[in-house]
Amino acid sequence: MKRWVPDWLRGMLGLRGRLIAAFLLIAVGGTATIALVNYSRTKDTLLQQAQNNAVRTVRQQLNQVAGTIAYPPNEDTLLTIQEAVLSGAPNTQVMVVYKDLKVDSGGVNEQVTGDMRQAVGGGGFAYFQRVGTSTVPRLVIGMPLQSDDYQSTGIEVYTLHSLRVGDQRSENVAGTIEGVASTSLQTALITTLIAALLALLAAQGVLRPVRAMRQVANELADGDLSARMQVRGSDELADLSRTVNEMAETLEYNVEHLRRMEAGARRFAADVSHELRTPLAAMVAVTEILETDDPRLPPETQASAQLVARETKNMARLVEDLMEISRFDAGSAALRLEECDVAQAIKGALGVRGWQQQVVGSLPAGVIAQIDRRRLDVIVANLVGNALKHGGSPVHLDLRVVGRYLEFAVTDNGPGMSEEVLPHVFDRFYKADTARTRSVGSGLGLAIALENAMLHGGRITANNVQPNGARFVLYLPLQARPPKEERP
Amino acid sequence: MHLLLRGPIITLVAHVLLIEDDPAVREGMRLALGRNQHQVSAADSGEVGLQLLATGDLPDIVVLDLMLPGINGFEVCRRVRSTYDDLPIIMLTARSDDFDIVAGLEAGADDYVVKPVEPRVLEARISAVLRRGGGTQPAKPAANDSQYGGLEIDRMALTVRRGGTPVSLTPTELKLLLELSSSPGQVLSREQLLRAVWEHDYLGDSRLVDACVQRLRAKIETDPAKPVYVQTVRGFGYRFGPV
Repeated sequence: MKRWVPDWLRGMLGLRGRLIAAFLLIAVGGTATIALVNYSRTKDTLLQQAQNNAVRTVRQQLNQVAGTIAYPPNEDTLLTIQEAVLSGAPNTQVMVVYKDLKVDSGGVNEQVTGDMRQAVGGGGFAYFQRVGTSTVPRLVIGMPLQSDDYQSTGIEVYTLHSLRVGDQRSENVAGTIEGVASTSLQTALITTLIAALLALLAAQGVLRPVRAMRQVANELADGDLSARMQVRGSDELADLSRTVNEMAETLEYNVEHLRRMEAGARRFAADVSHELRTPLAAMVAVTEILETDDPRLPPETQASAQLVARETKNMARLVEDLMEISRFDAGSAALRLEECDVAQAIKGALGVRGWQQQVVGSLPAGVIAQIDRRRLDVIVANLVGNALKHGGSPVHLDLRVVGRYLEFAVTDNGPGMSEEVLPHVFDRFYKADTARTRSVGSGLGLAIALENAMLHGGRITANNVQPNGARFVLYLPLQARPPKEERP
Repeated sequence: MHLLLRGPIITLVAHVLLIEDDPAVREGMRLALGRNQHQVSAADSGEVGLQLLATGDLPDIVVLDLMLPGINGFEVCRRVRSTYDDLPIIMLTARSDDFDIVAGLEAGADDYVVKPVEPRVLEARISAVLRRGGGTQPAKPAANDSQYGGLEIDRMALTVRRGGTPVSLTPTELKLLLELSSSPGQVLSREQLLRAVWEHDYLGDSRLVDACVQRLRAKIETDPAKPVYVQTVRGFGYRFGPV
């Protein structure tokens, strides 16, 4: 989920929100459909009933009046018929037509269509038609007046009935329809509420294991590989929980295995260098004797002795570097911070190795930092030594303060580093030139320099400069964090 | 101990007691030291070393490996100190054992070297330690006999008295006290002291100074927790007095 989505919206968009929305949609949709069907059917039935009633009433009235009238009718006759119908159906407008004669109690003629006139005039049956709008429903009934012997009299009677609320007789109809509608609404509301509750329950049931799973996944991600799900029941979620647990178990086993192997390898390297140190101590002790140039010795013996002495010292240096790296790996490298003038410390490191004449650049005094001087010495020795080895003298040095860091740049004017070499310069035993069998250093120098910088909370970067040359920049915090053992 | 002129450098030739359990290292060191005319007695354990001290000729210096079978190097160091105040001790340690260095210095060692050690480094340290006991004095002696409160330092006889009672100091402690008291009230940095007393050049271990100051205070101060003579100046170093 993206960051910019606020929490409450995330909740709405989440599984719970979607479940509830789905439940509600189904409930509302279902209820509405049922209510609609109910409503329209009830309405139809009720209107049908009202219609039938109206037709029956009109017919009854006409039947009664049919025997009393004279033929051919005049206008009075038509009025009599009208009155008779009105007496039976008070809220009705009545129109009576005979040939060209017509009496209308009001507005009926406008509602009667030509089709209807034709149908009523031609046949002996009653016709009706619903007119008006849905809010003001009206009914037009057209009926030929028949004589007692069911002969057509040529008189046509049209009545207009209102089904509107307020009309005494049709009030029941509209009221009943309203009632149906409101019942449907209430039902829909109750159903919706129940649906929402059910949705919440269902969401809860699904979400609890999902939340638990997320918790476990978070713990796993944080490195606690012993985190496990509680498996309950035998549904799909329980299966998923089991799978997650199996995955975590495999992960834990593999990581543990790898860790043990790595720790084993590191311990082995540490042990080997430790074991090498005692015989080396004995050998180093006699190197001075081997370096003799006693003229009584045969030249081969003397050369061999000198070679052994030289290589013994190299080996001692390599073992020391290995042990130093092992201490970083084991996390037992301690920082002994003291306040010092960095330029002075760097000059000291150069002086001890006789490098003052081989460097140029600026080492301004007054850069005061909390550092481990021995470790700074190691870093300077490795960076400058490396530059002298690959670029030759003079090596350009530059010390300055950038913010809360000191920046010490070592630039040589050698050929620089190729693109393949650059990412690996700080790797252990990485040799830039694979064809070269062995260099002066142990192959651990830059790795150790970087470890020392990182122990201070600093770093070292490597890159090429134009037109040629490699540049290593050491960054150290002026106020290094206190060493671990001094923390409470 | 006698002076020997070898090439342009004057080296002190000494009787060295080497306590080291590894036979190869012992033999290598014996060869290297022997080549420089030192007389070497070797012991393969702390017990044997203490035995040699008690029965044989008293050596000029003890070179002591910390990792020993039986009684360990720290214990040997303490026992030597309790019997022979002015017998210098140099520890042989591994740099990985940072804690051991502190413990060894607290047990009374004067200096340490990290194994594997090149003979000339060990040689230089031995000479430096021995010179401390040789009566060489700071460049600017204030007076032959100086009195600072209850502390009396005789720069000629190289004796120290506290409230009239003689205090027995190791050569390193004495040299440190002489160095500090030669300029009372002046702050000396740890590096200055390392150069002057231990003759360490660049990158000396300042813990040598701190450990030695602790031992010195235990002997000359009335209350070592509230030192009067050797005072710490935080961030700078140490200062003698003002009393």
